[in-house]
Amino acid sequence: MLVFASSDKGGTGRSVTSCNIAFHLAQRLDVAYLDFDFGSPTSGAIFEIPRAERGVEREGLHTYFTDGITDPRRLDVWRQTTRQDLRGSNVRAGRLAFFPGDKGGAEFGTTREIQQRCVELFTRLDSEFDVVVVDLSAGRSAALTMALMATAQPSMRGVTARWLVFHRWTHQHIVAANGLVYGDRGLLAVGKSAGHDQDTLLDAIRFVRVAVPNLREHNPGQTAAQATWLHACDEELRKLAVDNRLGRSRILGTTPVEPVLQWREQIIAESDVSAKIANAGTVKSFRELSVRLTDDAVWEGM
Amino acid sequence: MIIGEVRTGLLRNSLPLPRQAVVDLLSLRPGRQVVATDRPINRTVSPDSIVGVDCTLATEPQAKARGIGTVVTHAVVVGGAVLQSSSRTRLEWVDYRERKAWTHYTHRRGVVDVLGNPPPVQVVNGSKRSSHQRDTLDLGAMCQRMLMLVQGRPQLDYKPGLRTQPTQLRWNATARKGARPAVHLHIDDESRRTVDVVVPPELLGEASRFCEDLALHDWLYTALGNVVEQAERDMAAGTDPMKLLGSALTLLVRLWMPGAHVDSALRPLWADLEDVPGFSQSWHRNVAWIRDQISMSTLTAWQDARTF
Repeated sequence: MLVFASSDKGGTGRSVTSCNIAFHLAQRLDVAYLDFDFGSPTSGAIFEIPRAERGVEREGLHTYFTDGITDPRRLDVWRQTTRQDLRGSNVRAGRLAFFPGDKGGAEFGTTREIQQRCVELFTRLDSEFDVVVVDLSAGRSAALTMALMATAQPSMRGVTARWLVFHRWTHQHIVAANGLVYGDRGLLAVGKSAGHDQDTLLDAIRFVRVAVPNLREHNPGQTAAQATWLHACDEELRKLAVDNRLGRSRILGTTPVEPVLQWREQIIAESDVSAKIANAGTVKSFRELSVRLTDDAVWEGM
Repeated sequence: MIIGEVRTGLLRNSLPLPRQAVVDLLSLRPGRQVVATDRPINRTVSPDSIVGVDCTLATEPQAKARGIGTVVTHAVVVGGAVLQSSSRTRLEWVDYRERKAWTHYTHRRGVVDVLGNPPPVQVVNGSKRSSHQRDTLDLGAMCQRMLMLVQGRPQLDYKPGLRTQPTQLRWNATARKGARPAVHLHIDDESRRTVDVVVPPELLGEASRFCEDLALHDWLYTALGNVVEQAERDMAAGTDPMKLLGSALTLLVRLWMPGAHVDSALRPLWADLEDVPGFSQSWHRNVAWIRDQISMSTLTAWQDARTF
């Protein structure tokens, strides 16, 4: 199964959330994580792999697409990460292979040849891994277009593709996420012109609300007026989300505000929770996302 | 000396393909014959694809080496289920310094002339190195291109019956007069292997077939091992592994026939590999384990049905 992670804006937590989803999936499945954020490949930093913090020196995905190499670099996260508590934390974990971008890479135009390479990469990895997570650059990027065109090819018809759209819980982000999916040159429009059936494609899209404040929790530093105002805002955003076709039935899940992630983009493991650094709710939300992602019932047509 | 690489993986098809479909699948060049053998198991070989090269040869430690000539690549399908692509070229040391007319190379298929007189051992070591260098002979890339070409063909339904990791096996075969055939298999990591073969000169041509057979069985062995591991993981997580085990039985188990397609003079090499590391014994243990799991699950289902 291919999972594409997209967002309209940068800074939505797309990469850090998808890395965490990949981490949880890999506890029970073989997972590949592809850094398709060609302009700024930074997922290596989230997995804490020092030699790939901002992409690798050579043979990364960028070189694969632009320079004709056949085997892009793959790094075994369990072996390469410097985080001791991720290594060997689960003796029965599946593989987690990270495909980094290239240091100093940039977005590139899509030619027919690059398109073909993309199809080959996806089909090859789909035959090898249970889930392939592809982290796309933000906005209506060349990477997004390439992914939509590749998945529409006849030789990809046996491959399940699911699309996640990450957005924060604010007015601007909700409107932007709507634009990315339903707007001009959005996912559905580009997908249709690439040869996708629009309804089928829409059924394969789910939204992920990132860093949503929990208003039910008691906050002693808050005045009654503040609390009332926040509740009103939240209610307004809910209505806005429904009006923008981002309502409950279209979301895969929600992640809470996590102080650790505000400071540092990283994998949140059980060890961070038991050390009382990260909130248990955060790990729970990532795990739920990973479960729902592979649960076919969640993805049945609407 | 011959150097080569074999990449092995599962065809992207839900069930094994029938004989004629495999012939169509591998008819990559009009007018060129596909060769199919049916006994003891179907093995079909595509026509050779010939690529001209003029490039640096990897050497370790680094020496000056240029190779000019042609590389032969073909695809092999075994039992309608496993796809291999195999690239190889015979290296011949020459003392001329400038490239000759292409006809000099094109009528010697699968031969690369080695210029610059590098020590053979350095060329062998270089061919085992995994990292890609620009303008350097890369047999793996040719293999991969062939694999992707076949995997994208319309005869397939593009739904692999089982998720498996492909393997890459790099090999070199050295001719030594009067030598007893010998093989050394080295497991570099979970998907890469290197093989050194020594044979008397008259058997050099058979080495490639032997290495393809070795790559097939090494892949089967690895794939089945991974299936057992995945099944244990599923059982630990409370997921039912029966579909996975069933697919492994259907697709992989009947393909195990070490040495079946190898020249009889090289079959003793298999006997050596059966001694150390001992392939067949652990293979059969894994197969028995899988069958046991399926029997136990059937028994449980039957008992549950009775009590119900």
